Amino acid sequence: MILRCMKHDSKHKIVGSSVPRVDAFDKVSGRAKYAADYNAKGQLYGMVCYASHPHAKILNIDTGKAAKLPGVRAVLTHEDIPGEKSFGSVIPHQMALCSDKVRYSGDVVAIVAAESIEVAEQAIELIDVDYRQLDVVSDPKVALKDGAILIHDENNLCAYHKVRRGNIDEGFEKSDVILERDYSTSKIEHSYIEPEAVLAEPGENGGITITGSVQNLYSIRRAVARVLGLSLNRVRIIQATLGGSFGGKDETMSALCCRAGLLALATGKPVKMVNTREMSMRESYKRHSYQIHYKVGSTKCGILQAIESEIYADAGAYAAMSPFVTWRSAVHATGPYSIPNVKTDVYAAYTNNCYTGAMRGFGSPQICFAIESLIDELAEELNLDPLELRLKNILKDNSITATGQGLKHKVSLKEVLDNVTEKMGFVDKWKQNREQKRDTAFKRGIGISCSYRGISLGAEGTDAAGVIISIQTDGSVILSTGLIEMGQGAATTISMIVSEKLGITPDRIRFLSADTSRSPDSGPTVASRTTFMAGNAALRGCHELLERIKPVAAELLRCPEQDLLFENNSVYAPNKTSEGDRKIPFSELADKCFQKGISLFAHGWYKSPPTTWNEENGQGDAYFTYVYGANLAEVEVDCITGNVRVLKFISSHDPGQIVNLSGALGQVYGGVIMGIGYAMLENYAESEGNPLVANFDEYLLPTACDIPEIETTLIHNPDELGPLGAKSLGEPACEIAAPAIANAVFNATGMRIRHLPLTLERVKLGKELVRIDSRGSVKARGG
Amino acid sequence: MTMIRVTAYENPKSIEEATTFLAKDTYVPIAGGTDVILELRNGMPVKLLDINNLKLNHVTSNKDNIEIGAACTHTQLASNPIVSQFVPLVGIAAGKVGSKQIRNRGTIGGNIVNASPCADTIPALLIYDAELVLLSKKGRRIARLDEFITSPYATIKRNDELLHSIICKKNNKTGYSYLKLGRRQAVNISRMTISVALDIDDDNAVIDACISAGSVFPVPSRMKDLEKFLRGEKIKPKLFKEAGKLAVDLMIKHSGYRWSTPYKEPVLAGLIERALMQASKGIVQDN
Amino acid sequence: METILNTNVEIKVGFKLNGLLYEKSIPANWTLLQLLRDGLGYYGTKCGCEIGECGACTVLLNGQAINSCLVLAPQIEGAEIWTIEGVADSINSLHPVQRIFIEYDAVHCGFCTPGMIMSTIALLLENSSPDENTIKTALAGNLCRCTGYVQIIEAVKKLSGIITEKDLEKFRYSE
Repeated sequence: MILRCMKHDSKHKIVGSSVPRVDAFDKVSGRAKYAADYNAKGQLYGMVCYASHPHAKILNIDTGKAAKLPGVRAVLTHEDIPGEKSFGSVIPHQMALCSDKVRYSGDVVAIVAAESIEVAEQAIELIDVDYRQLDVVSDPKVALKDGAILIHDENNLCAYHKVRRGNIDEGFEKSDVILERDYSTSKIEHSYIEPEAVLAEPGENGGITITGSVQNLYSIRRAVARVLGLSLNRVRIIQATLGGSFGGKDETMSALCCRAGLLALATGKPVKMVNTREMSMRESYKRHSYQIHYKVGSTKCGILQAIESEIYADAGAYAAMSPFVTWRSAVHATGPYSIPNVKTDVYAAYTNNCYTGAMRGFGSPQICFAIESLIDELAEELNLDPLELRLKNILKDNSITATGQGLKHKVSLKEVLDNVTEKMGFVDKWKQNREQKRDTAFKRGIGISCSYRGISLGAEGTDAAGVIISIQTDGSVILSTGLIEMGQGAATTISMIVSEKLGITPDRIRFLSADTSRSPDSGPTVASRTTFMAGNAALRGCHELLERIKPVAAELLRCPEQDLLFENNSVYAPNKTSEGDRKIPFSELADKCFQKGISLFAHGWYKSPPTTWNEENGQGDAYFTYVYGANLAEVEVDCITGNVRVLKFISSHDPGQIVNLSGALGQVYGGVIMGIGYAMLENYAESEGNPLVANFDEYLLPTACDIPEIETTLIHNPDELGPLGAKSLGEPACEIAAPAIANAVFNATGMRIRHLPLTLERVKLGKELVRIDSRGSVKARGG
Repeated sequence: MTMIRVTAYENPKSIEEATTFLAKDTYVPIAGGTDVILELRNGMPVKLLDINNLKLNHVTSNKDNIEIGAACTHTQLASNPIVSQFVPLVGIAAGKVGSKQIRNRGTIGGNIVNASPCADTIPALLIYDAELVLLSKKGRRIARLDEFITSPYATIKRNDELLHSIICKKNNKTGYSYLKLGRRQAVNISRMTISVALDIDDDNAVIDACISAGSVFPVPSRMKDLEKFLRGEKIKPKLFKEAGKLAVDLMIKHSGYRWSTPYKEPVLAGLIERALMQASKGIVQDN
Repeated sequence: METILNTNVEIKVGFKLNGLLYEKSIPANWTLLQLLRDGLGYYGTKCGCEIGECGACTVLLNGQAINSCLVLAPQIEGAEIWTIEGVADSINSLHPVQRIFIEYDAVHCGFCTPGMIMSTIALLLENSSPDENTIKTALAGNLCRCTGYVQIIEAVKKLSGIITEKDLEKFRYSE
């Protein structure tokens, strides 16, 4: 737990230092209100009736018995939906309540509102649904074959993206060594510790107010308005304190909000719906499992010539964010390397598995695992060490990416790689480890990985955000934005940026939770875009306010505006005023402005720099800027059992400019450990569309005992586009942990594991054992 | 289904009162509740008999035996000096159950009557030839632990019987080892547990060996054939390697060749070897 | 079905919660977690999995950390319970454990925090200067998905130097 080489940038007063989180007091005292902590007088309890099969035609839904149960106030099916029956940001086909068929085991066919949860649960048992079972499609590659059973009306291709650069055939012709490898990754549950919850209350004007555990309020509002048949201004979504999300509380919450909203409007009563963990696991979307085929060509001395890849993502039953997730995979498929010849094809296919969508990394953790494993495999083939091969090929200043984008900022890849390898003496240690005796029971290994990552949405779509800054007459400040705090620390970082500019201490700044009726639609809180987008918007708002209040301050201090300094809740002009160092409290200035009729309210709006994308060849300036990171993992493998202990991580990232130092470190720690879970433990396993895990007894997360020592080095490399130079960190921290571990296991054992997670069986035997129905049968999967 | 249905709840203050309830009707005894409450979540209505106030949390020692009250929590056993002196493997096993919160609530009696193939404390208790004291209105009955569990999650305990205590035989040995294998580094459902107690004489020959395993056989069991094989043998690495192989033969003989066997074969062999090696060095291994 | 629903018995239970005496008639099928949240409005204790795996519902029961989702409400007869709401001495003050959690940025989304703090207090009651492994073992039953535990462990390490018996005495249980 050591931090190295973080110099506090003296250019800033507060940005770059560690500031206690602005929402921490409420959270440590138990006072923070999460969605399930909200109640309304006379509330009813909502419950859902899940599909009995992962794929089936609905023949009839009989709600008669359920409706007659005492205490039941409404039983609704798709027939009771006043608006559209489906929603979806990209493809609006996700069913709020299923009508013709069910497509995965988390689909919902009916909902109940009752006076107690017990009655609601009982009513669900009384709903009779007749199904005609359909064949189940559970493999995305099979789903794309001709004649495959269709999940939706058209073919099962959910999304396809390609990248073409140079001439792939010529690239392989120039190569001395060509390697082809297959990798796969498992499906991952976000595992926010707070299960989803909402309280829907019928509002005025026939509208609805929903307080919930929501990540992306505006997409959820669009879904609710569409399904309830209401205009956007009559649907109000309020964010409760959010108990983690990691990309996960979007479409899942759209569905839950639609259902609670339907019940609230049908009964005229507030309706509370709280998912159990089992419901959350069954229904909520996951991080995609990928099947990845790579072919890489290199010269003898390790100059990469060509990378061809074919990548299949399991989209599950609905599109959700799959088209965007797989686009990011396509852009990043060749890793942080200069490759003259590229051919990338990424497919997302519908299946009857749990649907998949956004999760921390958004299409990158899968790619990073595969490409960073591949590079190590190629190094082995070329008799080079993994660091040497990387250094020969990594992106540098002015490099051209696989999508033809020239990198005009300072590319810090070499620096982050040096940071994780130098102190440990990577190459020597890596070579020593390979000399370990064959019969040693406990073997050590080290491995590295690196990545580049396009920040924010890129060419996915419009990228803009707003922050409202409202100075009060006592000099305190209220901030409001459509981007949200979900534990990642946005409330604190945005407050710090405002604090930096207005000279107001963070304790005098109140960051409001988002409310669709009161905060500007700023797009989703995703893609590590919040610090960048809201930060820039906040800077504009601050600028606007300063333009208005500076003349008043200058007049009070009898000095030119350019001499003013805003600091520590006051304004002064050091050594420049006729009155020496007189400081005017910010409260006095604010009040003075108010008296003069000057607006103390500003709305800063920021639109990202342009990006370009050509669908035909997959070329373009995909993202306006990139961040860089590298990991080193050290493991100890118990060769008797296959048990892997992760002993140490060295993590180096380039977030541009740190805003909150302790928050930034927290992102790295949390990201690394989530990556360890990805590498070692987590797998949302399904069989023929039926989930095999239901709760945290079978879906294993890392505990406090599973964490290694983590050493972090953050690079100071301000980006001219970022607010005060800041870029992003949350996702990069998470995406490169798994390949570093897999590479370290190889270094220890000589066994290459190409499939996640690295279970006891895979590490011991090199293959996974799968339990097929009852005991007695053995089948190996993967190698 | 998450609904718990409790149609009766009794909180007897004496064993007499408790066994009277058990004789009268079908009650589910509840102590710590860490297993029982999970079962209740399936929505089956139950009558509960709280056995927390029967003073069954004693650990006592006499010349030959240790008696452990059925309601002793894992936390209590993990730090009990009598346990660590006379039946150390029980204390180590108890300390590896679940999380701190589970160990604070869960009881050794619960671990036994739940009769899971991967129960952590049962293999350790088997080393000490544990016997169970079962009480009912019909009187007191002693059952051998190695005969108590008939198949996974099934025991010979009658519904009118209450598990009162566990009697372990003191068997001072020269070395012990308890190995627990799980998928992560803590809070694991055991993938395999190995308990070993070895008695070695001054000439480095095995006087006695007690070996048991969890998650290897349908119910946690001693490996008597393996113990017999080791008795009288001079200690050398090859011996322990052979012991590992023999353990695998026993596993396949009793459990059949199952989906997990390709993994468990080499791992059981390796862990038996490791546990014997550790026990032969006289240490109580805690890894 | 209706008949089953109405057969849940109610049990009269007396207990001490955050230093206050209660006597309540409670449905026997309620867990302690339900009693705290829905019965008494103590929403600081969180519900994360209901099977004792996540630790978000951890409270002190007679001085020990337990999962309140795995205790039936009738089982707390005569017991002494502390929840996050009772940790600080007053509404505007913080207990040293809470203060250090803030100082070390051990609180991200905050959902695991109440349980984490209760487990920390239980640990300190047993051992006021625990080493790193003891801390990890004591907190292994509290899952956190945000922090990666690092800052939490650092915070608890820091506490070993500054926590006093006075900070802990109210949580101590004496039979």
